[in-house]
Amino acid sequence: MKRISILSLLFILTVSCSTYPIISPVKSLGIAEIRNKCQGVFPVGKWRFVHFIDATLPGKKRIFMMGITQIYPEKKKIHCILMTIEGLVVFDALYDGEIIINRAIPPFNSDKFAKGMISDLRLIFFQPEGRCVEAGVSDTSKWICRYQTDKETTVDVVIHFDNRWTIRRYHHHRLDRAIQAYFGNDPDLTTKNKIPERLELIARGGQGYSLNLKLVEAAPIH
Amino acid sequence: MTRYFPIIILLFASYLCVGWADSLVGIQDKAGEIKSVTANFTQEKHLNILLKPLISKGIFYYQAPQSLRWEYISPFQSILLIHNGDVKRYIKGKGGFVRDSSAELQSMQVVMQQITLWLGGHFNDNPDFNAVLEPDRKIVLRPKEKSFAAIIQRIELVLSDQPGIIETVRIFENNKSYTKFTFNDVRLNQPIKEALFQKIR
Repeated sequence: MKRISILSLLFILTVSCSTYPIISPVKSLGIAEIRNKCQGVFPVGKWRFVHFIDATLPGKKRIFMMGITQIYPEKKKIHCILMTIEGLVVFDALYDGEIIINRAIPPFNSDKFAKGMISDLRLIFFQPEGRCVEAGVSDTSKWICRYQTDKETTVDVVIHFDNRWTIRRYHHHRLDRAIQAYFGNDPDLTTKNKIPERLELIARGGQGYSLNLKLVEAAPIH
Repeated sequence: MTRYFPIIILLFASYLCVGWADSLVGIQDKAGEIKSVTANFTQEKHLNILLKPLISKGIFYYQAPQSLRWEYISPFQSILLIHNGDVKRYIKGKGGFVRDSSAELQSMQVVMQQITLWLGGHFNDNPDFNAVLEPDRKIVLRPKEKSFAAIIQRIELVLSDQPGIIETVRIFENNKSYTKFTFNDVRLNQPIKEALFQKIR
């Protein structure tokens, strides 16, 4: 518990530092080899995840929900469902190049919410789009890969010395999303499938929020 | 979401009446006899993308005229308290129970307006639902408004042939998505301490 708290504090401090870390190349490994290591962060194949979601919203309001996410990494396709603890589905959307909203109940019925949710899920579960422009090591990481996803956006995938990982997205050179993965002691989840026991997402900005996603269930889709 | 709670209370209230009457009018006459309900519940969430339902378990307490404690025990701990018009929900996290702001959603407040009607047996006075008694001890509630039907298509409850027991409640969002509640260890009209509706412990 104490270790997790320290890690959380370090994560928050890291998020507070919004400048790019300097990436040092590794003589013995090329960008492609290091990029392969970074790709190991992301699930391979089709998966269904169930998370218990603790969201802290602007004004420090907290809401709790259940989330079901089906991912199809090869097709970059996502089906996500958000529901109350009592089981009422308040949001159901499919992303397959464009967002198709099957169901959305206020206050989850805005386009902004749908776009933001799909964007966050893609950042969490899919390898960044765009070219890997740098890869190597940094002062605080075992491996780090930097992707230029568009002219304004850069994504860093960072693997730490203890194999935890962090994803940071920068927009106009400013950090706007940070995702930290935490792993428990379940060998099936942490070693075999590398599915994080808990994910913490911090969205920065005027309407910033944080999401704490505790894994309830992870199952490959056959 | 919060419309579930008065509906479930309705189910208990209506059950007792159906055992003694075969019409909604008869139910209305008898519903006032329910003073309190306590029961364990199992919640199953069925979705077409799930191979097996998501299961939650808990216990609830109801005290007439409008106090409710709806408590989840697994897979997480959550307590909803409704008392004297105040609606609060708490979730247990690493540091203890935390207030959940989703209980402040407008839909939650609607509960308080409806619960008294239902417990009084005034099902047909309910502004949101039409209640119909069907064969095999089934009561079906259908939203009157199209906009509400887009949220909850219908609610079905099946009463046991044993007095005081409800077999199931199904809340359908559509034909592919529904929540099923199963109740057991139902206790009617037993005294419940008021503090149970005011404090989480």
